[in-house]
Amino acid sequence: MIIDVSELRKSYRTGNVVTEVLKGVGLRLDEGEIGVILGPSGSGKSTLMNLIGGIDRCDSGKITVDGIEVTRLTDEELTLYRRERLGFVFQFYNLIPNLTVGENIEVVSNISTSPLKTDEVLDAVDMLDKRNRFPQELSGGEQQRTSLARAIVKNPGLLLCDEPTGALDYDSSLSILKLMQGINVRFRTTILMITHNSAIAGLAHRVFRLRSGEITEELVNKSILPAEEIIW
Amino acid sequence: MLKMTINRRIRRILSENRSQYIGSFILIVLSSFLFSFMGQFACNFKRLADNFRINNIQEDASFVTSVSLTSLTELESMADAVIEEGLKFDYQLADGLTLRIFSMNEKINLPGIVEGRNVMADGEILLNPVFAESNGFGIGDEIKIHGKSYTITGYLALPNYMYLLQSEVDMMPRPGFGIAVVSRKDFAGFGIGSPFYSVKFNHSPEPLRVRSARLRELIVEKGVEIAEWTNADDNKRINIVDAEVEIISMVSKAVPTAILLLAVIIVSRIVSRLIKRDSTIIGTLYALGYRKREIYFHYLRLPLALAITGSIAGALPGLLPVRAMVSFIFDAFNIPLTEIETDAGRMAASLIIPVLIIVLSSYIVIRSRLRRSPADLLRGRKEKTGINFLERALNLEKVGFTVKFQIREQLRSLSRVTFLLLGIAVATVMMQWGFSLKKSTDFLLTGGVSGIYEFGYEYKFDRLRADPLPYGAEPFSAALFVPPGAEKKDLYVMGVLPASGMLTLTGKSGALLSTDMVIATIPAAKMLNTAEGEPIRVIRKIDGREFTIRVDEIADTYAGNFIFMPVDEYNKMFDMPEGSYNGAFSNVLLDLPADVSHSMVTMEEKMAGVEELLGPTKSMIGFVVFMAAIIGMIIVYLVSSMIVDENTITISLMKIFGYRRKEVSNLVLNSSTMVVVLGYLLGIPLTMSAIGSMIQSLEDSVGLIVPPARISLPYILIGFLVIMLAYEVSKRLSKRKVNAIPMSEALKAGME
Repeated sequence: MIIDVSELRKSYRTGNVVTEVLKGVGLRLDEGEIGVILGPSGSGKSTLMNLIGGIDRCDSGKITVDGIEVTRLTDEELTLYRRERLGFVFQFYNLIPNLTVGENIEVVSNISTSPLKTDEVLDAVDMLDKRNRFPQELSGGEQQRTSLARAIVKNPGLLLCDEPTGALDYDSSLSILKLMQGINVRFRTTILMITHNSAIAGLAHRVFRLRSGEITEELVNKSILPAEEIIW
Repeated sequence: MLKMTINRRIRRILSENRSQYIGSFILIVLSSFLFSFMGQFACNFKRLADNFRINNIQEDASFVTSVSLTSLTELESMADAVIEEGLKFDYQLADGLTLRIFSMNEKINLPGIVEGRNVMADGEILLNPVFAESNGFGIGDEIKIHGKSYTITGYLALPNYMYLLQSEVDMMPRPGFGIAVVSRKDFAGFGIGSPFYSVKFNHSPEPLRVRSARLRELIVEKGVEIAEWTNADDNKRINIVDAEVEIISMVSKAVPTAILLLAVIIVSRIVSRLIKRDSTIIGTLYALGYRKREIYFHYLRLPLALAITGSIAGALPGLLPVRAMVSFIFDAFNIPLTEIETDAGRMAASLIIPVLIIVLSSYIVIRSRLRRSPADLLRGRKEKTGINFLERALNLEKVGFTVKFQIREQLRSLSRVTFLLLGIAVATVMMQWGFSLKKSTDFLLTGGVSGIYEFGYEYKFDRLRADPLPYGAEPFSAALFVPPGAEKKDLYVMGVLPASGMLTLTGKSGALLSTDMVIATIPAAKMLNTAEGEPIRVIRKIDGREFTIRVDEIADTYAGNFIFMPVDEYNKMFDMPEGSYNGAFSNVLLDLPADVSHSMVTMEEKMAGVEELLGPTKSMIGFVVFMAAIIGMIIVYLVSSMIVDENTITISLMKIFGYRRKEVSNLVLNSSTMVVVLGYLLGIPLTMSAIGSMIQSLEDSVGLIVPPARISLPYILIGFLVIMLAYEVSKRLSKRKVNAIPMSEALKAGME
């Protein structure tokens, strides 16, 4: 198993008001699996993702990723953890506007110990011919493909995706999901995705429903659908 | 009421991004301060000098004749002028201390009392303040001249000695030289002194030069030989004041304008970014019923607040050091500091110009940004941030990621990179200007003169002599000439001994030039626009006669405007008696008869004063370099802050991707390094051209030709170190901002 989360708690304080966002969450995901966390806005999905990604710290509980106890890491160790093991895909792509597609990929390969070739990952996401374009010259789907290429260039063990199709139309969403599924198969990359779109759960090995900071349901998907068959 | 409420935002906006506003505020303050301070300084300097000239009746010309004029009244009426005879002699007070003592005039060149009172009785004397103070003479003290004690009743300034040059060929005053005035009766008691005449023409529209020439003719017609004639326009003791005022005026406009330009760029950028960020708010304000002009006015409040507070905070304190600065400069220019006045027009300009320019440029920016429709603004649709031509044109395939990232970062905003480039260039110009000032001063005081003169004393006689000189002395003859059509520029033609041992002149190749031929210094050759072997026409100032000289060689020196030729040839060419001379270079003190009126300067006096004279220059240079470093630091800090602000998401993203803080800082903040270096390199030729304009101004106003601007390698390196140090300090300050950006910024991106 690559991810093991147990009894995870996190609250935020605003003035005198304390909001408990995660109330003892636990989940497990094995290597090479796709996990989907489903939940409405405010359920704590993003907070859970940030804690697993080492971007935020929990109040209590334990997160272990690939044998590393993330909750015990120092700031410097967290930096190395993100640098070497994780890939991130964001809802709004977060490409650097003044860098070309190729250069956006290099932002990550620049600090990776053994990155894949830029052209290889661009080819994998079908963006090789747009290598020298700037983000604003791309459609939303193309921007997300670039974002995906950037995430996988370091060949990470774990890909964290925050609503990767949230800003895309149906066709573009399907093509991104297809790519993700392909990456999962081709590079055996474990993928943890958060979304409010329950249809996407069709392609996951495991599905977690999160509501008001608690996992209310965990499903193991026996009949995984190919991305192109997902409909919403 | 609604409008009042929305305007409360401005204060909050100002406190949100304090560093940028403080930086631009400081630039506005600095610009207004310099506008006000240097402007008021230039106005007061000019006013005090003009008042002194008028109130104390500055001469229009002065001359020396071979015999005393007997019919002054007749001459005055024929020339429609006032002519007054004065007397003077140089008294050696101590080794290296020469006091030029004048008899009290009653009509022209009246002493201005700087402190104390005028002489009222016998046995009283006035001294110039710098000489008195530097040699420990206070008011009420006694001073002994030719064995008789005189009481110092006050400090004086003379309108014909505003710039205290001992000799007309000097470029700077000598510390051991002073002037004094005693009553005519006391002067008669000395039993020595050479007469000279001061002329003041009565008011007439006719040019002074023409009237001056006519008076010369009248004197010659009376059979009197004129030994020396100097019009006030050609008198460096008078006209250097005009040159100085002109230079100060030029600098007082150029430096604050350059700083204001930087402030305008930065404020415009701030306003532009604010409106871009506020597009949804602006759309909402339209939807709420606000008019376009109300929104304009709302966003104009920010630059208006910065400009008004900045110009007040700069212009008013700019008045404070004016007196101190005038007093400081009047150590070099002997002019009474009667009263400092505030020039209302200049003051108003110092307050209004920065406000007008900043508000106008901000208005243009706001107008261009508010062209989008309210619906567009309301939807918060982002303006397309176009890729500029440079970004598109660059092929960075072959360079490493760090360099690629940094080049892209700088090219992202051409206005930002222009601001940085210009800012560093302005700071460099200021600094190198200071350095080159020191270099030129060093040259004028030491290298320029000591390199060619090999004598200890220079004598100038008021009458032609023919007596043999002792061993160790060489005669010379000299007269002032002007090129045709350029009466402000003058040069000395000097007859010297062929193969003179007192002058060392070298050609461009470095070979020694013998003085048995006609040799021009570089400034003289430039002034006459001549080369070796070409005949040139010159007009003798004293009588307006034209002569043609053929220059054989040009000596590689900037030590004054001279043409040297063998003295016998000189006497023949200019119709002077054979064997005559009017000066001498000497390595021994000459034992001259008491009736030989003369002046003498020693080379030691000149050299000994170098360090003393350089003192104020050094502190001024220190101040200029410090200011330049501060400006450089503000500029780099502002740009670094902008880069950090504009890259918040990128920085946050990099942190998420696993970049260490140090790596992020290096990547983002070091991106300005190449622009800082380029700005510095750009500043060097700009400095050369700025100094070139100053040199041209000196040449045009007083005919002073100085060496072409040269910036030495050590100063280039020192300047570079200062700028890089300022850059490092500002980077360090910005690093904190980079470190403070949380990773959550990237996660929130696109959600607003």
